[in-house]
Amino acid sequence: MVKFHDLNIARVKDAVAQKHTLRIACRLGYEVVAVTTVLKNGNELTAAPPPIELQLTEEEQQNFQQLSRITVVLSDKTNNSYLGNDKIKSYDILAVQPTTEKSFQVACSELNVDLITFDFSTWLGFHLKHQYVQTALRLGKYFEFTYGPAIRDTTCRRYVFQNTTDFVQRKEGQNTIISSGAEWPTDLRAPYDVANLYPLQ
Amino acid sequence: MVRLKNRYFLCKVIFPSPDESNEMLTSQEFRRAIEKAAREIFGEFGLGIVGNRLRVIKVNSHSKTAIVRVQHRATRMLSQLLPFIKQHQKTDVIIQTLHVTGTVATCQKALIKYERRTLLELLRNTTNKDHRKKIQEALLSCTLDFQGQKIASDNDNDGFT
Repeated sequence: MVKFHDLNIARVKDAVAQKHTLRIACRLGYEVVAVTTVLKNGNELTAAPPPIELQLTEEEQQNFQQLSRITVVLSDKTNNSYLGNDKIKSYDILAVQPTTEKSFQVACSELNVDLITFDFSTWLGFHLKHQYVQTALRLGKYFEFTYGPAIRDTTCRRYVFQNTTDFVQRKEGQNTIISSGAEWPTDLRAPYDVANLYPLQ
Repeated sequence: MVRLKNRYFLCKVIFPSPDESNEMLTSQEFRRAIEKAAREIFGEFGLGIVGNRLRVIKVNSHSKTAIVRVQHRATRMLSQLLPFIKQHQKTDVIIQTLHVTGTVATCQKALIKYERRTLLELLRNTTNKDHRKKIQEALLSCTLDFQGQKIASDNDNDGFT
């Protein structure tokens, strides 16, 4: 039976709110969930906080697996050698969010990451060059975007649609992951509903 | 003979805020929420297509389920705009589509199946004895014994509007 994954649930400071979000995710049918910590400045890798795992009640834990994930925002100035850091290794999943063409190229070809994320709520700032995308696909990397901004903010919605259309046209649907990026439980949507969003692009 | 085809969506409405326990789901408000989302995502054109034979047929405010009808042509549109419904009468909601069927009867069957499963899960997870008793009574009221006779009296209080 297919397990539904939501690989991007934003880590919030309030543990009660976080637990509630996870509980709603469990209720909606997700079986594997990754709580994401975003590291905005790639050069502060050594200061990354440790991963967390929240205790839910026994019956909820049965079919529910929590993973920890860290997303590192890359820019031209990021020193990529820090990605082999012990603190990063303590997370289950490592993802990378490029913000420039150069960091995108590096993420696709050289870096040892499996997941490349994008923030589609504003102008991306660079184009997804076919050459780099093909390299990443050949190396077995996955691309991810979140639908949370489209639901939260009506002004961002337009950019999410714009960027995802472009993204889908360049990739033809391979190796794509859609996740929620949910900060509070209102941003979550059930798995089949999310699947319905894909043809919109 | 032209056949007018409709599609019936069985939707579950989840109120994620912890202090929502007594939110009443109404068909008028739900319809308004669908129309708002249709206009936001698909514009006036989309609102027209979705709104043609749009009707919120049944709403059960206890189990928070609703059956929505649209014309066949609007199936995809409705399934794509339901995730964008954020609020029902100023309260945050998550709409989950459970089933899409071609007739009301099938949709109702799906609803019964879903509610029966929910009741069984509730029975499994409740620790409160009073709640447990109430759920057991509810289950018995819709159960037949081996001869096909109803075990308990039918409670007319199932919350359908």
